[in-house]
Amino acid sequence: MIVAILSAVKECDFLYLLTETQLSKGNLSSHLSKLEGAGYVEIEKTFRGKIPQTLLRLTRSGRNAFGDYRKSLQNAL
Amino acid sequence: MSIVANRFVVQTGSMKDEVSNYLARPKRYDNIDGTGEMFMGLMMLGFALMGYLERVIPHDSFWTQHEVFFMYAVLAVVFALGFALQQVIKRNITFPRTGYVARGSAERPVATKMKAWIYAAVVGAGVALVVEAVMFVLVPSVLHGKNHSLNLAVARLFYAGLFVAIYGFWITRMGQGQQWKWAILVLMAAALLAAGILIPAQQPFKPFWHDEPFSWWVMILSGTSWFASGAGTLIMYLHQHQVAPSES
Repeated sequence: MIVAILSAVKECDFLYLLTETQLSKGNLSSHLSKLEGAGYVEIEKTFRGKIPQTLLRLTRSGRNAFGDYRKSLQNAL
Repeated sequence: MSIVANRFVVQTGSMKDEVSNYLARPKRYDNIDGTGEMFMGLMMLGFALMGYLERVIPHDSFWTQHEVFFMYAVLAVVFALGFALQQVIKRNITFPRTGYVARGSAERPVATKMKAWIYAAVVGAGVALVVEAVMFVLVPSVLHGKNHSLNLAVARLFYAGLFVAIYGFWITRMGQGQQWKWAILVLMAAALLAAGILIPAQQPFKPFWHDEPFSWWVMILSGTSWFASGAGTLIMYLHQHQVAPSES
């Protein structure tokens, strides 16, 4: 779900993912940490004005992995 | 096919639908705050403003003599205002409530982007051809001075119907919870129908492409409907979403 949403955007912030996935903050952070560890997601801590903001992007390997997943779904059907 | 295989196909199919749903969400997020519709409404009102200015500005003025420049100047100002309004709402209202997203995949191949542009150009050309073909059918009897009322009625119906159809298509692409917009569509269609009936044809009679009073009203009514729809979406959005606590 997280990878699917990230694959459709250039980048987004933590709040957008929280809104779209309806996961709790802790749950989402945990998933993102695992995805970052796997090299699928890139996390950038920045600021929007004076407010901290966490930007998230899918890496090339993340997009490739998602593309392979979609192909396998297609083939299974 | 066995029951197990059937269940597998159904589950896999629903997984595919779920993925497609997630992929479509950023497009709907563009108008989560109604700014997309407000921008469209402002552009249409800009066209109406242009039509109004053309009528009130003296014929011997600089602007009338340089009509194309005048047209681009008015539209550029309206576009800039609409874009600025959109950005102000996004930065101060939308992003603090439901987050920031930059549309468009960074890794999307150039070939895919070109394909999208080609499709858009082909569809646009196709629509223009259909419009021209429909109008071309009406031209001979208009030029020969026959069936003015009928041709004008058909032309007006087609022209106004196009705007109603575009808005209807827009509504179908939105997510759930937007059914109230169909009421706006009905009001818009009713207003355009009333304008089509009440506004007299210009005298001496001119072909539909010079049906300026009606065209002006179409832009006013459509633009107002779009803008009101967007404003309604923004009000609902403010009601449903509070500013999220800071990440720190």
